[in-house]
Amino acid sequence: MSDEKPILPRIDMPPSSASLDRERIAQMSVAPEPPTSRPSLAPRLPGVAVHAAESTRGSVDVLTGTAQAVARLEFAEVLRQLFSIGVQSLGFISLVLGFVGAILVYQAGLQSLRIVPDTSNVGATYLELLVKDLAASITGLMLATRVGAGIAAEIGSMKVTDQLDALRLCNTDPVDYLVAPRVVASVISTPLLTLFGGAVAVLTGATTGYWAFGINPKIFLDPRHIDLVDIVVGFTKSACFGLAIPLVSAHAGLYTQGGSEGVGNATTKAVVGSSLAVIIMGFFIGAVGQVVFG
Amino acid sequence: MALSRDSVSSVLVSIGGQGVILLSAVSATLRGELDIGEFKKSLVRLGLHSIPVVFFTALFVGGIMVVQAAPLLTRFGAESLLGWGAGFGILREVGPVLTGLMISGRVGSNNTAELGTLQVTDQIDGLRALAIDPAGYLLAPRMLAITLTTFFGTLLAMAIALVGATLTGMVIMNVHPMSFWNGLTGGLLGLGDVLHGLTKALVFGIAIATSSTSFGMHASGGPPGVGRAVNRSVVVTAVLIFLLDALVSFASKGAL
Repeated sequence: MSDEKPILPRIDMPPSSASLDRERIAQMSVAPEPPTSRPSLAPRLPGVAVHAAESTRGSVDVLTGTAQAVARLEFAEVLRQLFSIGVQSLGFISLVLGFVGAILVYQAGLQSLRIVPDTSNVGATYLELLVKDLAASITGLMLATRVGAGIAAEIGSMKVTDQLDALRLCNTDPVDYLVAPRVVASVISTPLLTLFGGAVAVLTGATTGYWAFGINPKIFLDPRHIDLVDIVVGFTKSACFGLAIPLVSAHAGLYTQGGSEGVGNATTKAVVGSSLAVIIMGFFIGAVGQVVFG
Repeated sequence: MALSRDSVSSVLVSIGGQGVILLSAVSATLRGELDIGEFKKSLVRLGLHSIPVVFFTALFVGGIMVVQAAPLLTRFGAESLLGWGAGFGILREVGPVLTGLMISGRVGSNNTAELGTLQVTDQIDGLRALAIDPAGYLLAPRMLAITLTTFFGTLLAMAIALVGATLTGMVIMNVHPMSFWNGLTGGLLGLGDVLHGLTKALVFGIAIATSSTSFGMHASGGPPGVGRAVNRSVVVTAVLIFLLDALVSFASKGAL
């Protein structure tokens, strides 16, 4: 049965909730490991650190499984996920980024008027910040909310209704079939959504600048502060966020336990975990960019 | 996002549902039906347990503000303005918005999940059958707790984010903490900026409480239904936060 798959993804799966034979599941490319094998140190550490460590380790496990599954991806499934993760987020992302652009330019304009009676720098500064950080970070946070919650809710629902066990009975690994397409779709669509959201934010920002402070759009849209490093840092951020969000969320979904309440908790964990991942990774990528290229 | 008739009507239904939830919770509180025991429990579970998440978010966000502002300020040779730049961003915008988003992610989705579970397992009808009004017993305590959590969480986040900004400024830009502090309190920022942020926090708190409760109370269809409700609740809350942020920013016209 497993001869067809010479490379077996080694993913730690939670103990099955159905009364399936452990041995048979183990043969089907999944190595179940009861969660009781936690280090005994765990209860003494603060809860947050334990959760963060567990979530990180689990996400790395999901990542290795996904990396092994990429070679035998189903393209139809990837396309479907590209639609549901990428295309269907367009409205949400452009709505949020549009408002962010308007608010930021308004606040920045008010503040710079307190110091110098000159708003000609607002546009160039705003564009630089947008390229380097804001477009990627805000899009990342919003996708952590929308895509992260969606993935955890979907996979978690399948887990508590024993559909993941059904997949394994069909000799289909849940990571291959469910997680890998989502990860690939998210890595592809997050930078594109960032680009799109950034463009919307530039538009609403320029409109706000013109409307609130009378800044000529030609002066506002001044790319003189943007250099290659900014573009590379912004792109790296969005690609890393695109990778981290589905991994953290899929891990939360795969480990769902209990009924409806479990699904809700998994979704909460996915949103908090992937938002924190976005914020912390954003800080470190930005700091490394500043220190190395600064 | 195509604006079909379905999506328009679903938006209207969701607005109506939130209005009903908010009104029933407020009227239950005014009638004195708020369950104090539940309120205390919610305050601990939703409020105290959110402190770590708020703490770490704020610390890193303060750092991000400085990392982003660093090249701008060095370009103008204005390192002494770091305190002002970070302070204005944190107090007026980033503090309330990011605290709101994190509390929506942790507390709001938790609230939706619990109420949704109660709803799909018919336990809320069970309460009604026992002549217990869910508005006073379930809705009002949670919503009040969430609003208070967001408000005080934002206050905490502002302080922590300023600490994070000070530390990052010291490490990355060699700005002395005293010079950061002087930029912060040098007269360019005032109580008005803090009040501006806290007004937002209050508005966001009410929005998070109302929409998460509403989506939980209107969940249907077993475990997948609860998942869908949580998903929708966090998405709608995020949109609401940015929308209300814009409204408050423009409405106050820099007065606050």
